[in-house]
Amino acid sequence: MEPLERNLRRLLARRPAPPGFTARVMASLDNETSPAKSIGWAMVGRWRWPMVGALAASLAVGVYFQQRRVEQVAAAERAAGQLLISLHIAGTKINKARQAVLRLGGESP
Amino acid sequence: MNTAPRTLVDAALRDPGAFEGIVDRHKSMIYSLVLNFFQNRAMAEDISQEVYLELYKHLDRIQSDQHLSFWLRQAVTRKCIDHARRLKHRRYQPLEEIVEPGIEPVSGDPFLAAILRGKVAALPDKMRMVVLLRFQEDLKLVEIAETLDMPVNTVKTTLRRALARLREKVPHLEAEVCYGTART
Repeated sequence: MEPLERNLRRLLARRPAPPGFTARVMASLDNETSPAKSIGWAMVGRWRWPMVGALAASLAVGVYFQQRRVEQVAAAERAAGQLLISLHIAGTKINKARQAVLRLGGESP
Repeated sequence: MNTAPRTLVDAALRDPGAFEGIVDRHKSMIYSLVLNFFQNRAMAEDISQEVYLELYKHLDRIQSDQHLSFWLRQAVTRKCIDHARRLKHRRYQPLEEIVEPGIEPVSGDPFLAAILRGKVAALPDKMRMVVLLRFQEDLKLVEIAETLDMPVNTVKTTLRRALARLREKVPHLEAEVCYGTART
């Protein structure tokens, strides 16, 4: 083994953990898992799937109503277009009828 | 079927108090890895605690006592590298995270020990971890590769480069240096 490697082994050798380390780790585990600290997240965890379900349902309802509104607007626009065409046709026919009546009136003695 | 013994883990799953046995058995390895990586006692203790907390949450995933050592080693190396990455993005460094000069009392040549420690600390994160796993944990290249999730050839190259860097930066280390630290 080279001197550098031997020196690295000595320098980086394992050292004992400081006194009271294990007790501090165990205390931190107790704190972390105590219900007082984690009650908020525990509640979130318990209600996670119902919340996801409710969110998905409200999203679906929202999408449905939005889609219905879009369809209604499109139908209204179509109806308005048809109404304009009908008015145009009716106007043309009335105009023709008027001209026919005037023509007949001019021919009569 | 996995028939490897899982005595420590089974005991801890039955009785959370038995988790203390796991902490006791591996604390030197975990604490030293973090301490050698950051050269900071406060960080060594904090990160070690995080590792044990993670283990506590995922204890049921441990397949054997041997797997437990591997899992802990992998968890601590990942945490060290992640933490080092986060530190680089920080604009300031809290006082407690500043590298402590002479973290261990030395009985040999403290000057050379400090130089070598500084050079190891200056290595890139992954390279430093490879050096630690090789010289602190005495792991084989294959084991280092598994721990760091790297190809064996990459580990071999990384280690060779790390030693070359240390050698070129500390040429006078050919002389024996006594550091006065013993494996526990």
